[in-house]
Amino acid sequence: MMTGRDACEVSIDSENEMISVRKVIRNVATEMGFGVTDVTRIVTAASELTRNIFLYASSGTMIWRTCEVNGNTGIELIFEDHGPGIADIEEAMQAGFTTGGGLGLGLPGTKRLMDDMEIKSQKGEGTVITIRKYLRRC
Amino acid sequence: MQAEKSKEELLEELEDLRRQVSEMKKSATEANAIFESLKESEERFRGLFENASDGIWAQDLKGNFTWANKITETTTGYTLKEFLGMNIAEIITPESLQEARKIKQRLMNNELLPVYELDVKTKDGRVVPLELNSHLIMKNGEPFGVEAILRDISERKRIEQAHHDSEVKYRALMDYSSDAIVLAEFEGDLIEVNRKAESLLGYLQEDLLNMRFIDLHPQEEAERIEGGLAELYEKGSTYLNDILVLTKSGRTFPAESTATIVEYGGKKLIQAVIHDITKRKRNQEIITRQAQEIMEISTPVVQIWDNVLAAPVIGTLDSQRAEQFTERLLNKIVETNSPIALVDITGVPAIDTRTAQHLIDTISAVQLLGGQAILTGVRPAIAQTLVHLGINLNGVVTRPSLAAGLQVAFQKLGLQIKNNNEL
Amino acid sequence: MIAKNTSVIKIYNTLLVTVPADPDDNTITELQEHVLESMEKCVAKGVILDISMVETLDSFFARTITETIQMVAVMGGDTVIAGMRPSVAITAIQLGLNLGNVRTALNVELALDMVADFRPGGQK
Ligand SMILES: Nc1ncnc2c1ncn2[C@@H]1O[C@H](COP(=O)(O)OP(=O)(O)OP(=O)(O)O)[C@@H](O)[C@H]1O
Ligand SMILES: [Mg+2]
Repeated sequence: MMTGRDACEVSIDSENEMISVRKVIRNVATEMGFGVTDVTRIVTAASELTRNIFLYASSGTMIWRTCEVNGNTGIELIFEDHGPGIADIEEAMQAGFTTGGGLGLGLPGTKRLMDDMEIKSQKGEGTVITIRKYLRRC
Repeated sequence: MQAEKSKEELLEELEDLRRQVSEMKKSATEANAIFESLKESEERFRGLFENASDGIWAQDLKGNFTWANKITETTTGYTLKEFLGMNIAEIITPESLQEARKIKQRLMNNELLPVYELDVKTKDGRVVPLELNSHLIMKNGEPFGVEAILRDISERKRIEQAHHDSEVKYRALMDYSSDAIVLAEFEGDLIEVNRKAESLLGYLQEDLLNMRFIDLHPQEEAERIEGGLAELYEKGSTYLNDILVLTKSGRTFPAESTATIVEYGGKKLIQAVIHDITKRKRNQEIITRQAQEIMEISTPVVQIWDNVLAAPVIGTLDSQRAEQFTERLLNKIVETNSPIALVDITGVPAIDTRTAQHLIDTISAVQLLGGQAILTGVRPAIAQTLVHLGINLNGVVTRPSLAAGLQVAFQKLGLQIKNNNEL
Repeated sequence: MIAKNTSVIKIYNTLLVTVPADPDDNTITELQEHVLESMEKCVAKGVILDISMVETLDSFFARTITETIQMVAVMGGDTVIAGMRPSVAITAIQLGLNLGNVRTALNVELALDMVADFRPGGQK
């Protein structure tokens, strides 16, 4: 069962959105009860995916919402764009792979920072990346 | 002497006689027909009487049976022959006999009686409940006996009892349940609640029966309730965990709610079981806290010198423990302004790639922070494993023991240890 | 171009650069130019990057910092990164960032001690 209590959409069409995305996510995650380090992880992951959107797809949206998966409460972020898409997801997930002169760390790093990560992409259609982090229950 | 009758007169008389004879003949046929039909209806009546599905018996005013139909045999177990020699007192229970006496009295008073019940003792000793409908038989204007139509109602009684039993069981189940159970119309109006619902929610039953399902939860849960109801309508059941329930006093408590659609007399109803999880949550919190404490004890971070921390790792480091360990170590470094951390793995039974990676990550993070971590307690076996696994400890200062690590720390801090005994 | 968000002050022959809490990409790029300009103008021997306010260090920020450190080095300067928060350090490592063999300090004070030999009067 997966139900969301809150949700919100932020559109990403310029670098300036970086700041607002980070701020929104930081507030939401903190309010949800994530610890400082987890908040930093989530915000950093969001920062990576947001930058990828305006770098490679020029515009897109980010939706955040709370989620509940198997009794675990968490935050879910969905990044969607209608850019060129990722030709080879496996390749893009490899550390060091970049077409934009970066470090090639954004995608593999995001996977390590989060608990769940799903990438759906179609060449020429766009990319949807969903990431989740759950509140620790010990 | 009679004068000779004229021929005309004679003829007339003859004619008259013939008419009379023919009339007599006619009425005889009619009488015959009436007789026949009487006979027929009596037979029909007898057949009815004999084969009626209800028993019929008659008794005189003393209670001796005077006649009865075939069914009476099946009902009482006595043959008609036996039966007709008996008195009502012999075949009914003592309690029923009293009842029967009262009934007779009322009949004698010309009362019109409703259906009543008597318990009959059968020949083989069973007690069979009968439903009777009696009336007084009159003869020459005087009461002469009592006639009764009777029906064996044991099957009906059994069903009634079963109904009653299951109702009692249902109520017991409802009322002794440690969970609140509410039954609501499909649209959400509450129509039945159990005792626990009253005590848990602080309302009286009559209050609850005027409320709706959604009234049991605070406003902030409205959206989740709606989602739950949507799922309920779609899938026939729903489960909401950790949902707040609102009591009459305005207090809320966390609960687990399971709702299902039940068919009740052809009608679709919602049955919800509300389980208070306050205690469970509290226990969970205690467990979580204790786990946290144990985790802290198993990876303590202590300041052993100015600028020097020691962090012994005991047991294996899974991802979660490693994360928490790193966090605690880094925070302590900043808090105490101690740049040197001795991460001691003497208490780690065996090292694998993951644990090694966790340790390397921790040491790298310490370095980013502006500190320096020294890995101590690297026993020969661990050293072997690390090399065999091809783990690159480049740039990490390692020492076989905590003491050796402490010496490195002192060197870095420019401290020296002097043995005063030699003076 | 002078970045408004970044403060650069000179202490003896060391530049103390304070990075704001949540710099956008422009600010980070500007910071790099600002530091290099100041290196030249002030004839500084070293740079202390105070990132104690920074809450998010992503790959772009890390790359720019690494580049800046390399550029400063090419200009003959030494850089110390000071005051990284524990949460940021943990995240950076997990993300896979590698700042190379950059010198780090727990705080600006300790960083100043590290670069003490830049000061006139020499060793501490
Ligand atoms: N939204 C996207 N649309 C199209 N391609 C993308 C998208 N996101 C990532 N990619 C592709 O995947 C590659 C890897 O992305 P990743 O974020 O891991 O590294 P990078 O952006 O190149 O560098 P870094 O994030 O380390 O600065 C990118 O170079 C790009 O080719
Ligand atoms: Mg990227």
